[in-house]
Amino acid sequence: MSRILLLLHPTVVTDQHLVESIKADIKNKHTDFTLEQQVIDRVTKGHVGLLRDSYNEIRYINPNQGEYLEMPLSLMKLIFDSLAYDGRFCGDLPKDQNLDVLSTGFIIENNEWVKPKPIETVSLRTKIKSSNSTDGKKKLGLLFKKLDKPPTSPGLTDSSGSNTDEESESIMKRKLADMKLSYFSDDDDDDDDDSLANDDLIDENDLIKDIKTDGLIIPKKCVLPNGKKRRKACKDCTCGLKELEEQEEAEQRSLQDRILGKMAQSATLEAIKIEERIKAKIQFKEEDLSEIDFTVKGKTGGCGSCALGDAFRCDGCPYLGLPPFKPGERITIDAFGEDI
Amino acid sequence: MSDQITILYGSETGNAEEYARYLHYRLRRMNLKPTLSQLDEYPLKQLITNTTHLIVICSTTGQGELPRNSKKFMKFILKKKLPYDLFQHLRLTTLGLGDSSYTKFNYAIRKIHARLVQLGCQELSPRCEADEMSAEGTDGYYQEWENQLIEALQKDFPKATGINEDLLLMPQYKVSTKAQSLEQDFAQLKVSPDLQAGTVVSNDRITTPDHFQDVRDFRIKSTDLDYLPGDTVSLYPANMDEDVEALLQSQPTWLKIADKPLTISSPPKIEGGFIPNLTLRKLIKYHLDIISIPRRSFFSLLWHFVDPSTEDGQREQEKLQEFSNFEDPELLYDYANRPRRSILETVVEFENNLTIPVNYVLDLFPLIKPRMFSIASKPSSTELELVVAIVEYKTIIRRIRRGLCTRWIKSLKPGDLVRFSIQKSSFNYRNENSAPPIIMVAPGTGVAPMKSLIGQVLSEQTNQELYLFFGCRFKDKDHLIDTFWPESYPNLHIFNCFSRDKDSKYKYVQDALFDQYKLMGDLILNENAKIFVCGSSGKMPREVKLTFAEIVKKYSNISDEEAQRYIISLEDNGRYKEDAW
Repeated sequence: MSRILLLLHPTVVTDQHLVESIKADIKNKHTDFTLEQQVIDRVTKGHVGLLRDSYNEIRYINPNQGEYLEMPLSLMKLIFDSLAYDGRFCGDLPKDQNLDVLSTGFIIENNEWVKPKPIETVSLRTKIKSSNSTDGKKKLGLLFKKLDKPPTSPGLTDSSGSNTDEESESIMKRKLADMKLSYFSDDDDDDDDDSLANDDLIDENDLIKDIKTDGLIIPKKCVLPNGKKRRKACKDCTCGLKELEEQEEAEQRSLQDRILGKMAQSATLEAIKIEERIKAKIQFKEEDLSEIDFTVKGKTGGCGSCALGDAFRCDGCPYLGLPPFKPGERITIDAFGEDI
Repeated sequence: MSDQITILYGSETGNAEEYARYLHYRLRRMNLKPTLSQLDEYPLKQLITNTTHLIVICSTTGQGELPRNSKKFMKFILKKKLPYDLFQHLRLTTLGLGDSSYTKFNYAIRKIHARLVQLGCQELSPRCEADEMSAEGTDGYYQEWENQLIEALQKDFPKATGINEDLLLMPQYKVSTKAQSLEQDFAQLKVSPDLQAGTVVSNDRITTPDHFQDVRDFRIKSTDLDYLPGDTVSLYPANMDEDVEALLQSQPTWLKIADKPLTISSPPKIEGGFIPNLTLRKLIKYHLDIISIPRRSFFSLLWHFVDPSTEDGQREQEKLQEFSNFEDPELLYDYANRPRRSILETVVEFENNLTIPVNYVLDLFPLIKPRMFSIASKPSSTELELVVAIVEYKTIIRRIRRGLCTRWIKSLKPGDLVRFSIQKSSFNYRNENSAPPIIMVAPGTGVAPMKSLIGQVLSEQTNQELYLFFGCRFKDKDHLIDTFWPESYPNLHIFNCFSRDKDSKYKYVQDALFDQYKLMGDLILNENAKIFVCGSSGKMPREVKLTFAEIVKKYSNISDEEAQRYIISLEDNGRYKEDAW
């Protein structure tokens, strides 16, 4: 006699006709059987406990499509545990989770998941058994307290979470990771992997159609404090912005030229005065000097920060682009280097 | 132990890398321990073993392509055999950097994101396609994307705090020096095992002195060279000694230890590897890009090293901190990017109150990256030749701006050592049983790989027909190819285009191509010709392609659409190849 369990997605429960036709189908295929049915949510939430190693067939009815068929590892594990050896899980199964399926311990045969007789996985199984010798229901109730994270994927699987104990889960994770790692070559530089023909790759241009462009980040509208728009000229600017920038730069350079000219002049003036001073042995006071030399302490320019360098200069400051001159420090034209 | 948050970036010009570095700092300031890597450098197995949260930042280059340092990654994830739940354990968000004036806007990140989702990645926070052309700039997109990402991470990692701006992070790559000095002079050992060494044979300007641009014909002698037409060489530039000295002088504590042996615990993986027997001076000279423009991530670390105990110090620290945040994005742009100010100039400008601990140098300064050039000589095992345009800018800063690499190239003299590596990207210029005509379109220094190809074909003496369309400004100033082929060859046909010479028959390569539409149409449609287009990116490649479509349309009297489809089919069959930079 075979024990058959019908697992129903909540959306099916209201569709009595569908359920009946499935039951009829099962009757046609089997002669000697018992049939139970459960709503899957109640199972995953732990309201109902399933007996271990007892069902010969579990059939899952989920009329949804695609991603809504997705099943959490924990549910797979639960079904695995409830199946008798050689028992089959069939029906509306997820198509793209084979890695998880295999890592749970199933064998995939004709799109059905089969629980094999235990061979080498004994150590894993005995551990679970020894720590959970009580009946399944109790176990579920206990373990679901460990739910620590809200589920992330929509649909049926929403209401479930981790339901294995920590130890087996970590083993599971490791097994899964090992399996995933087999897709990565040991050599990180498999650049010249000639065995990999181009048709083993998907066409990257097809991906463009695949991308959703809704829900993209949109920047907050920005108004700069000075009311200016942030704009810089493109590489091949045709709108005139580049010329405008060049003009600004030219203006700045002519401002600088004037300053440098003045400096040269004041340097000459100073030289003359020094000569006179040596001749006449007259000591100039600092105020006298500061009339000629703007680098003297106290003479810092109109706004007080011209001497500090570009980081502190105002928009349109004639010194922009020239090196900082520390108050009191002599600057020479040589300091500007080769390119003046 | 890391927090299984992995930040991967694909970057061509450094913008994506900058955002990745900046985000890395920010997350570390939240008491998280993320891992940062280039897409191609990251050991992919760690996506399974060491990652639960994946953040990818990637720019798009050329015609919707991925940056060079992300191609290996892409090739892996495109494998058909990968199961659809491979990355089911990953929560993902992505940031793309692009320019909406290009049709294939942000294609690189779209491809990466779509594929990662196919492979099971779940959403961590909304993804973002930043647009360089928008009024907010990419910064505006980044900020909003970062906000939502940080919120999501705070949910998943209870220990995450808010961003603590004042926290000085521990250095990632601890750099330290040993007390004893080096016993020998390691002058001979300047090349890491990953690279080849060569010496400069010649470095000649091939534009006239009165021309605005300095273009160099540059020859290197070496051994065991192995390259074909179309291959490229990566040059590893170095800083000028006087610049290295200026940086050392600005940090007096460094001067004392500049020539002591230097060790780096868990050094970052870098292209070409570190040179052997490092000292601080050599590290700066060969590996730290102190001529590049300082970025936001640089300032976000730098301001911590200012002593604020004086009024000046406090003011300087505040200013540097302002540059590190987004409150007025224009501020940093005006200070650093617009005038192309260098990191060295910034450090020197703030040196009075700035003391940078040596163990932070690798965290603070960006690394020197190699620059790629097409090889211009025909295959040889002992010599290679490059044609390099020196890029110089004038900004409001009085000193002329030059990139690290061009500054270095300009200074090289015969006998100087160069470090380089060769990459394969050979032209497929022959068919198995035939040698079809070759049409080459190459304005400016785009002619370099064509010179290699022409040299090779001429030496094969196969009579394979060669058509070169060269463009420059003046016949008498920047006619780069003037001396390339002193003799004439019956199978080499050259069409010169001079855009600034009044009496020139052709101004632009497109003009010459279209004028020759009968010849071109015949070569393409009846003779199976191959087309190679090479030169600066931007308008040229686009317009040349349109011109070819026009030629095909006019020659065989078909519709616009059919002509364009025909050109696309040429591209698909490898008969139309574009290489633009």
